[in-house]
Amino acid sequence: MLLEFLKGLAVTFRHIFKPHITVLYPEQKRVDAPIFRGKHKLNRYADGQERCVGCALCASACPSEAIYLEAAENTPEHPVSPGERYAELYQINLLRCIFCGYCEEACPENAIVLGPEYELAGTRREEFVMNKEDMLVKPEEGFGEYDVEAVHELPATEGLP
Amino acid sequence: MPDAATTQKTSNVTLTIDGRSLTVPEGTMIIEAAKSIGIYIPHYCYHPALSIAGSCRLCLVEIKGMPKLQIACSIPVKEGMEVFTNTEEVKDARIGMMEFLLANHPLDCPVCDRGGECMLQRFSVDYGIAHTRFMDQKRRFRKPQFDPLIDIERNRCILCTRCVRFCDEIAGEHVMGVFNRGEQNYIGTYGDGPVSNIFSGNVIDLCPVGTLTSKPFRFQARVWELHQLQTTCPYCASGCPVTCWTRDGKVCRTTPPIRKDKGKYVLDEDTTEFICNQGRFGLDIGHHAERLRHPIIRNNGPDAPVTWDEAIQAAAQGLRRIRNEHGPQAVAFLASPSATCEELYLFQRLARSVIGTNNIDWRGHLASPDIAAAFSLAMSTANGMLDDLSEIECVLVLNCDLLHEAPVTALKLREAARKANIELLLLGHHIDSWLATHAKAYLQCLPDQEHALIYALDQAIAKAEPEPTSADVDTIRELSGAGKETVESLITSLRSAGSGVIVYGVSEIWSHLASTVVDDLVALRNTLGPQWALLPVNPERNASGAFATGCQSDRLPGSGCDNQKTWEKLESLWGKVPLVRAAGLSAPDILEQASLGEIKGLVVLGSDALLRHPKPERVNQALKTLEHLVVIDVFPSSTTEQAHVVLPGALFTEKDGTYIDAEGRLARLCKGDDPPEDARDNWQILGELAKALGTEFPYQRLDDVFAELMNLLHPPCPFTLEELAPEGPGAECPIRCITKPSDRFHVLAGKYHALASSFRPTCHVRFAELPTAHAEEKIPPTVESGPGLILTWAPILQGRDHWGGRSPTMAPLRPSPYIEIHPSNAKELAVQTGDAVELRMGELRLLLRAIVCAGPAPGTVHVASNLVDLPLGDYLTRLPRVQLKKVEGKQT
Amino acid sequence: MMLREQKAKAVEKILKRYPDRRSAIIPLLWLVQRTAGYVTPDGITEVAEITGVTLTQVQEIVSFYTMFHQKPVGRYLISVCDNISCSLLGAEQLVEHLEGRLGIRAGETTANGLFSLQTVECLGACNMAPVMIINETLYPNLTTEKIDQILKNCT
Repeated sequence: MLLEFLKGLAVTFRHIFKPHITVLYPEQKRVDAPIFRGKHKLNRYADGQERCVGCALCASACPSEAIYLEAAENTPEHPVSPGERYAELYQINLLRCIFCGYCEEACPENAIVLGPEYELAGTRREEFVMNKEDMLVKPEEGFGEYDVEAVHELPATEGLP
Repeated sequence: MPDAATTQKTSNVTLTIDGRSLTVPEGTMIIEAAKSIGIYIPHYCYHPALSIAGSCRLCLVEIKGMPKLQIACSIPVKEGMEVFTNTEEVKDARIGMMEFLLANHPLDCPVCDRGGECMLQRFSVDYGIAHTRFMDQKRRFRKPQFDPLIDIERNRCILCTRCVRFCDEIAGEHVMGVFNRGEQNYIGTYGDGPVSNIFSGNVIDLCPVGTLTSKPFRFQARVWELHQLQTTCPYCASGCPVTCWTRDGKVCRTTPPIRKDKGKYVLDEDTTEFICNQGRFGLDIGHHAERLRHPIIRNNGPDAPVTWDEAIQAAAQGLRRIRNEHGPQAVAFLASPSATCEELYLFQRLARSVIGTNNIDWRGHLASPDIAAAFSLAMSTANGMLDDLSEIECVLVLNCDLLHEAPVTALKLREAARKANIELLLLGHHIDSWLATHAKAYLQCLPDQEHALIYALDQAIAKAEPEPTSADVDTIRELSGAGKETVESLITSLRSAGSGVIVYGVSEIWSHLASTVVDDLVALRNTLGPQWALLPVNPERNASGAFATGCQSDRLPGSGCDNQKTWEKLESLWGKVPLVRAAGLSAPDILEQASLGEIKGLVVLGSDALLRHPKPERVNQALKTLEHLVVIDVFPSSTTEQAHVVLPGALFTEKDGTYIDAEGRLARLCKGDDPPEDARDNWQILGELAKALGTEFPYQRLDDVFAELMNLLHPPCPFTLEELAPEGPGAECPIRCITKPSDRFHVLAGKYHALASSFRPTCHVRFAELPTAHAEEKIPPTVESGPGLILTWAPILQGRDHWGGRSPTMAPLRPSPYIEIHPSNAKELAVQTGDAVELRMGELRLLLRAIVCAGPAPGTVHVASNLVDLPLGDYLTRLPRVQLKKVEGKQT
Repeated sequence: MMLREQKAKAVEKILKRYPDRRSAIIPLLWLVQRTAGYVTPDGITEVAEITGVTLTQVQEIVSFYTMFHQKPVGRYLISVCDNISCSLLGAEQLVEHLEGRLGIRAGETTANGLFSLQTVECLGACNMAPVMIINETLYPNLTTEKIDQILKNCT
């Protein structure tokens, strides 16, 4: 019986001296894989305009129906995105989201991506419904390297009305 | 252009398509023949309702014996023809064609409103290639302002010219065109102006790509996010079936009925059922800010919170008190002809069995009992239908601006006349100038001569001679001022036609003469023979329903008041209560008695009819005198302001029910949303009101009401409410649609006739009660004497209205007040279309836009009564004369 | 009101030639262009009124034919064919050369109102490609030198 006891302790002591895989969260943060799928981000062009055109393909690709959006038309004075259409209301319900990344796959504009952020705890249900402001890339993070000229409205062909 | 399918109906041709043998009428195009056996040949420019363009080249098929591929849309079938629609060669050709079509296409599907129901997307999946060999810059157009309702994006255009052909052929004016040539081809209007016709919205559905899209629907939603609600348009008596596309209950857009494709219901871009702009863009009033959302008891103040129980009790208490103190005859009921049949049925049951009065009517918009009687006579003799125009040879339209009162009925008639399927004849003091372009002949007369003209026609036709006698022709010529040939051809057409329909606008017949004119028309119909039918067209959506459900003092559900059997049946049906058989008052009398203080309590179901009364001050005066006024309505109005109790009801997208249109067609209204906040479904409100008054209605569901009503028809209608719903998704509709491939039935003179099977079960309710005694001839002078032009008027669909007038889309597009002038009078005044003219009527001055057209008879001018501010109510028995003067330097 | 007031006789004569009024659209437009120098919006309105068609229908015809001008053109209207035969034999370079010489782009008119340049569809002289037409004279087998020579004569 003593033997069994010692055997067990041996296992314990063996592991004491191995490097441990837990981290002291929240003081320490885990390093994630580059393809980690966390909280959604909405990208912008270099000039700050939103990439999202409000096409709602993400919403239709979403298997858990977590995305709701309403589109609107850009005004020439205050364009939100290049082209005619932008997402006036863009909501993702994180309680429904299963972080599958289908929205990212569906997006024709590379506007929505799943970022590295995983600290999504909250105390009220409303906190989990993210609006556009919660997801849009902040200016201090930089707007990426995409050439804005390439997608902005091209001029009309010469000789055409 | 004669219709190939009808002229060569006699011989059939047998051919094989993809190895399947089929027999179709000679002259059918391959694309249609293939469709009839379920083989879909992809196409863009081909549309069954339009002429053939043959420009998209996508419908290429292989025909045995022909060296090259042929386009299926323009090759008629031939005996023994062998067609292959899906060989490798055909597929190759289509892939090539798709590459050409996509060469200049911007591929902006994510921002395109057509995405999801685009024919270009659909065939790209089948025949598209993933890359393009087109190296150059795609051509790009600037975006013009174009139409207030239609957005144009020329870069997406594939130049199928469907929109151009629609405007030219069906809407009747070549306003859209293809400009420039070669690579620079583009579609548009002259100077990028609006597509100015009442059917312009149809080009949105017709466009196979995203070039023409709806401005009100722009970026509202993606089509796959929308629920489809198969329902019927609530605006006019054409009674078009429509599909409302809703998001969260809000109507985002309205289209003609959808089609089934691979198990899904999608937009039918090949539809031949076109709808007018009012129905397409005007149904967006459900979430209007002005909606009545809470019950109101006036004594508590308009904003005081009131529960439903309190409101119902208050409503019932007042009615009970008046009934007990002054007897049931002191209470009256006025319904709106926009309410559903079930509501109207319950409403009259409330009046007859709960209160015990026959003071019930739906004709609150009529000012004189004479006109009300004419309406009644018109409805009871109505037996005409325009469902199958191929079985009708001749249509005579009397006095009806169909284009502005029931646009789609006008469209149907014009199409049939254009394809020479029917002979179209117009008659009266105000004819439809849009229809006149395709009319075989038309006669115009002064408004007080109509009965004489109809009588003269009747006499001319009744004589046995093969040719009309010169005396008759002369009489008619004297009355109408028309040429001899016109009169003779009109008479010949009427006499030679084997079958026909007389369509007439009741709202345009005047006062004392109204009964006489309707009576003369009945006589004319009798002279013409049993194959002729009468079809009165009211602008009100459910006037026929109100008549059929007995929502009228002298009518019971399904029959007139003199029917002892119906009284007994109703008594046993409604709980063995003896019903008061004393005649009730009609709407004009109810208002009269109310202002005299004889009627003390009034229940109004929908105040839109009262708001259309030509003398609003008389209505207000009557309502003010009332001791107790209960109004069930959806929007506030001058009537609800006077009401002691206001009960907020449901709008057309928020309730189930049925409507009956001018042709007697029963159409199902489907629920797609809940009434806002505290508002309730009208039939439930009526039930609660009855309960509070001491009689509980026994209906569990709306179906029970419908079934009871249909059982009162002779013979009973074989459909249930659920079966009446059109095939297709019921959206958020609580009553699911169950469709069986049932035959079409219609109730005509007490018989059902089974017609060809159809996509939608169709049921007609008609009362062909032909009167035996002629109405008393009353012919007082009805026109003011003196110089000037005679003013006539009628309401139009796009005018100010309780419901439709509130549409945020259509209200800003309401036509500016206009006056129609006959070219001969316009010449004297030196007025052209678009000029500003000043109208003088007594002391009154009014600036109007002139429209020079053949509509009004020479010597008369015509205005839309719900666009102008004229005291027309003062001229109900005597048509006014007005002076016109051109205002120089002003263009409107 | 230009046509019916100033050219009433000519209009009458043209209308008489055809059984259908619509057939007279092109001759009437020619009349407008000869009178006003180009097809004016007023002219389009008037032709539409005379022939009883819509403005769109007239505009379709005007915009289809390169011979109808919707803007005033210079005294010399140079129309260079840019279809396949001419393009293969260097029509594009010729247009560039002309643009350089005249200081305008195709579709424009020089500031002094002397020259207008446009590219047109096939002129039916492919055997002599590349070709151009100045007003109503055809110039075949063009080279840049020939063009310079021709332009010199146009003053």
